[in-house]
Amino acid sequence: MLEMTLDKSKVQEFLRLLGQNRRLFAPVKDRMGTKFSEVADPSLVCLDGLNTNLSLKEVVFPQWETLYTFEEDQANEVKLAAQETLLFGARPCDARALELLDRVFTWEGIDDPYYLRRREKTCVVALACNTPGEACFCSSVGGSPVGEVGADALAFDLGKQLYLRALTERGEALLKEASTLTEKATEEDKQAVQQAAAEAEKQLQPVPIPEDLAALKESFDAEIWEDLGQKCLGCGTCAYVCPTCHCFDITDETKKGVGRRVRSWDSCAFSLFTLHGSGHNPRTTQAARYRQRVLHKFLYCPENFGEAFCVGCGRCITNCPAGLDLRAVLERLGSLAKVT
Amino acid sequence: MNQVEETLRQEVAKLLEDGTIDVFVGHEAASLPLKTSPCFVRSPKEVDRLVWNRICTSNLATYLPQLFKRPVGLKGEWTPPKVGVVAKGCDSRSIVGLIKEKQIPRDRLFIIGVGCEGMIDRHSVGRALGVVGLADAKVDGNSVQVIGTDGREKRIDIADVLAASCRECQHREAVLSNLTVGEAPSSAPEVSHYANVAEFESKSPQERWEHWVGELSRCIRCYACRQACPNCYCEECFAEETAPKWLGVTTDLSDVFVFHLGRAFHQAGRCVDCGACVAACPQGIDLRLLNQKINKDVEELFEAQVSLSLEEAEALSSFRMEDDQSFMTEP
Ligand code: SF4
Ligand code: SF4
Ligand code: SF4
Ligand code: SF4
Ligand code: SF4
Repeated sequence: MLEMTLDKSKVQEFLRLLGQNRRLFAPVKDRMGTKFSEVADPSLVCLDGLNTNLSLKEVVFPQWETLYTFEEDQANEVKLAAQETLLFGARPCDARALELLDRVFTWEGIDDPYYLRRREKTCVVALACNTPGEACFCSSVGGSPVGEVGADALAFDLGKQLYLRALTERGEALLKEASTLTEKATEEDKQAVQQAAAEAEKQLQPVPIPEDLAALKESFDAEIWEDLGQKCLGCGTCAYVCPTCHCFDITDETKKGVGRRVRSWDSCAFSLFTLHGSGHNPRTTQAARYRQRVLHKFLYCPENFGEAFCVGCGRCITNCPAGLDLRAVLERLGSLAKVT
Repeated sequence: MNQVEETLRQEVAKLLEDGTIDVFVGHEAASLPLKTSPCFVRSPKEVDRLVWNRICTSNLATYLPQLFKRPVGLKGEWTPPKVGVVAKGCDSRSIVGLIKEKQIPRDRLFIIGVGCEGMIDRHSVGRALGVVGLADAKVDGNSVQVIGTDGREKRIDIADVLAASCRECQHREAVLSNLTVGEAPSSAPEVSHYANVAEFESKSPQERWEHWVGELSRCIRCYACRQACPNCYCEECFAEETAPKWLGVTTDLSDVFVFHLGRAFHQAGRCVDCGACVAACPQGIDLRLLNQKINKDVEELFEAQVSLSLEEAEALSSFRMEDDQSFMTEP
């Protein structure tokens, strides 16, 4: 596979070149650290931050979108065209999350056209992490600060230059577009990359992940849920900042016979999430809702998709207004799972 | 351990032991630096979890109504618990409000008031660090020593990262309590009351509009602001009502504006400016400006502040002949 280096003074030119034929998304400075946003001016791109405060799932799975419009009894399709898109500087955890989202939106052979139209046009250049954030635990959930899953190319910040490695054909084609700006990676560069990778992995604290699914199932009535759930405020923060949370709601908006059907993010922490039309709510307590969030990720998703739906990005931890820490929860669950 | 923390633990242990309370709601350390988490202590053996420091930011009143709700599906007799809670000035005012709005019973509450010098705003510390994260922090007198995830150290004056509400707070001691712990707070408010509103009011309508368009286009409708707010205890919020449907589910500005303006109006004469909504927001939106504008209006129109005592009627839930009526229109 193609391996090359790009002098950091040329990053802007590189992005300008690649941005000519596609939409460009990259981290830019924000009052909450950095945010992933569409950039017209590459000079705004900031590659020095941690993972962005909000995840990049918005690009392929927007917070809300119109599924179709209607008028009296006539439904009108919305055009499913999406533009070529480059996600540059996504952290490896976020890139891996896209691979997990793919499994949901193609589950059991049913393709979600709304998701796929964007996803299929998306090329991801991930940026390996030299220094993890305060709540990162990717390596404990099967990822890595230098992970390649979900990315078309992987970049390393080597100080004066970026090292770039193509991982897929799409990534290779992309890098070739800018070959006038890059150089072939030397043996020395490759060694530097290996060293950076080893350094990054070392900095992460391991979190014990409960993998005994039968024991997790047993935990359903455990006290821990009441204990944690009573702290939970029932907001949508953890789900909305999470790169793998994918629940949505579908609502009709009508005005005088004309309207649209909208899909929008939803969160299992909301009390209305499971409210039935009859008024019955099967999840009566916040404890039950908090349990759902954790077990969905670490029990039901492994059952349905073969993997836990957490990439260890730490966003739910840094942003939880109640100070709940998923790592601590997993640790407690793990010890519980061992005993039972 | 500081003196307040030690006394607090002792008092709570006593209250749990002699059966005065069944559960105590306080703060405990969270795993991230400069963060605490609400904590529910049910046995004297657990009181060592309780902490008292400059990051006990949460308004604990928010957690009280749920404790007095009869568990869904429970058959037979049920007696609501006796609940203890530690309260800063703002928490205590929210408690007063909740008692008056009949969400919590005064006679089953034991309030431990603590004088408050103001809480650190974690977002401000984050901003001081820039794009890197907060690896470690140690509060030391009037400053906090922070270490970024890039390894760089920095000493920050607490005065510079104090929550905006705390900067202007005029009620630093609990207005209602069964017991107080610790000394009366020393520092007086630094910034004049409603300084932010006055500054905002001096702007042109165009500038004000642009300000809110900028702020509210950041909103992700996560409702953390609402959920953290002690006044937002409604079983079904207008924002999620479907019949009638007041607003859509999108992040279009019109939907977001309706939500925030609606919520602000529901806070009129009720917001104690605890800053919980601001602290909870993952997008760093200063919703306080909106609520403070309404507080200022209430104070100017009715010469009243919100929830200062159980006895006094609240401005917007009482009527006096001399109340301002200039806003009334002819029928
Ligand atoms: S979780 Fe891992 S990949 Fe994600 S930002 Fe942290 S170190 Fe990087
Ligand atoms: S962010 Fe925290 S408080 Fe909000 S729903 Fe998630 S766990 Fe609960
Ligand atoms: S559950 Fe939390 S740590 Fe895991 S991927 Fe989601 S936001 Fe990141
Ligand atoms: S915004 Fe209004 S309706 Fe919604 S919870 Fe708050 S007070 Fe209730
Ligand atoms: S907490 Fe912030 S982002 Fe969430 S709904 Fe409130 S204002 Fe919007």
